[in-house]
Amino acid sequence: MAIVEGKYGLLIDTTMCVGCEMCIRECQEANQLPGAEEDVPVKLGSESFTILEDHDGIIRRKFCFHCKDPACASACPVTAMQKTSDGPVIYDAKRCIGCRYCMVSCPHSIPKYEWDKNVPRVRKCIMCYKRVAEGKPTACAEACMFGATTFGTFEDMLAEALTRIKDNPEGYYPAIYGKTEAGGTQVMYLASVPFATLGFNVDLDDDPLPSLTENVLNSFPNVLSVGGVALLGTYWIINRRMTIEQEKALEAAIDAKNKEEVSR
Amino acid sequence: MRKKLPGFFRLTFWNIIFFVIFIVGAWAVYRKFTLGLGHTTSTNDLTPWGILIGLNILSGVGFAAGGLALSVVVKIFGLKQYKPLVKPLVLASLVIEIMVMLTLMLDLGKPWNIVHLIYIWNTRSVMFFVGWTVMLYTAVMILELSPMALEKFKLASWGNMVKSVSVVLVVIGAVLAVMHQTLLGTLFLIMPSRLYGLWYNPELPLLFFVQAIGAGLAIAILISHYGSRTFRFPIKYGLLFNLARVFVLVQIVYLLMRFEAVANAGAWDLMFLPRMETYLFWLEILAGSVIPAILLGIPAIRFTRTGLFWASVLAIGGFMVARLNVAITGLVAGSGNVYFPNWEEILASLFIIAVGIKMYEFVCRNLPIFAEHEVPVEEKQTGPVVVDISPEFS
Repeated sequence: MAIVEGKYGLLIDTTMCVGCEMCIRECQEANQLPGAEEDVPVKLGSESFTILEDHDGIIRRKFCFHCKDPACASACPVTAMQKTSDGPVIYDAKRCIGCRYCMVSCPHSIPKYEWDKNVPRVRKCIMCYKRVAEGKPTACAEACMFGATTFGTFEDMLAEALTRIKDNPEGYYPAIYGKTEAGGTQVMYLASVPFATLGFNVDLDDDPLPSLTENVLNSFPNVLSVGGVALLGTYWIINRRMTIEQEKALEAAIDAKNKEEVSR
Repeated sequence: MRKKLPGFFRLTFWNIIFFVIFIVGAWAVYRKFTLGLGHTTSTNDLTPWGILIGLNILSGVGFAAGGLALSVVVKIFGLKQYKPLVKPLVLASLVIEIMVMLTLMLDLGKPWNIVHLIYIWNTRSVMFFVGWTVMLYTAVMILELSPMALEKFKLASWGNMVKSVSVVLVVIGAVLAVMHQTLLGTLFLIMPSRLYGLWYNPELPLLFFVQAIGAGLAIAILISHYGSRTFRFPIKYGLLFNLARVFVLVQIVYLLMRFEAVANAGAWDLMFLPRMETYLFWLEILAGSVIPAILLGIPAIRFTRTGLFWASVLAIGGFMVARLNVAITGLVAGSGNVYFPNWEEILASLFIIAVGIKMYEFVCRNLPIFAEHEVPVEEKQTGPVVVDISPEFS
């Protein structure tokens, strides 16, 4: 188990979101992504780290959950995806080999790829990790004037979420998405309706995804050393049998030859 | 007794096909390195993995299992009558692993960074171990074949040194081969909510391994036919009939395991939904396991050249469908995308396969890979002569 309780977190309260798109525009600018002027992107992509999805009038902002034990960070063979102690899951393009295993292992399908570049990078929200390291909030949290995106320490965000549900039980679906899903995430969501209706992945249980492969990987040393010894042992036994048979046959042949000579 | 064989470059039907594939394929490779994967494949953000992974890597590695399996059978279990099959299959495994590396050069976004695997170690990552087992398995097979190559270059003493540790090599290789096959299945364990229920289950590593044994046996049969056709020697049918029998047994075990895994994963009902995934699942089961096992189980079919050959072809085709189903069908199911490879992607895949086949042919023409098919198997020994069990079938 390698769950990292990151220091900082984000609380996304979908009941407060009016869809002003300031979070997207600030994110585009902070990450030097093009297209911040006219239309904001409507799909996550190599040039858009966060988007708004309209589910029957309820706006749900979608971006990287910054999981506590991310599937992407355990999947990456060269540690290009890394979980930091502050919380953000960041990407180091210099290490990346472009295998896209992080993309297929993410249960929320967040990481996107620069398909039209011949030196491509994987792209996703990096939780403004440089700002966060200086104690500043993320660009999206600073941009939101309606309290839909708030930034703080993870404990504060969790406490805030619990308080909101307690103070207004009719206004909220009684659950926090991200509290325990796949080991928990730094980014938590509140909503007035069940999360499945807002496009969240509700098929995740509480075990972090990396544990599913680690169980197999950890069994390899035992299985292989036992197997290797068993194979060598089998070879030795069978080889001994064959050698003994050959020696017996040779002795028998020599005996027969001697008897022949004696009888002449 | 060697008849004049058709040359490497002779104008045969297949050589023309290969030539066309090389020219057009090389152009597709050039395009990939200048334009990126987006323009030259159908992969995209919704379906990031395509046939280069699903076919060339996943199926290819499955075929590579035969080499070490036969080495273990001959060297460890002492069944020396299968020795003629060892070198052709070990060479096939080596060529396949080289093709896997070539595929990675074409599929990875930044293949030059693959050297990072040597000094950046993420031991939680299945992909990391996949990369390393490819490298180590390739090294072991180069070592296994090196005595032959070294003899040709008059460095026989080095070759003898390698031969003296050949048992250890075979054991290390077998252990690597088991890891190699199971790791490919393990890759997909991290995607429980993304891989369609008919293919996701916790037994994936074991299922991949058993599947690979079946595929390795079918490949052994097909390589014997290929070698016989290209180099004109008699096939050792006795050995192939036994391989076919083992294939039937392996498929029975595989099918039992597979259906049990599907039931345990709660996916039993998915086998009967009217969806594309269901049809591809049944195609994989029938073409890859059920029909070939029935065909090879019937002696009247098994003991014929056509029956043996076509049943193996069907088994290989079904196996390729099975691997494609895991990497593509299973992931496309929940992606909201419809995926079919574009012509450049298909061409890149064929290019790699064609390079592999021609490379195999080249080595077979220059090294005595099939030597034991031309002369009876002889052992240097002091005891009774080992009887060749296949004279009536040669």
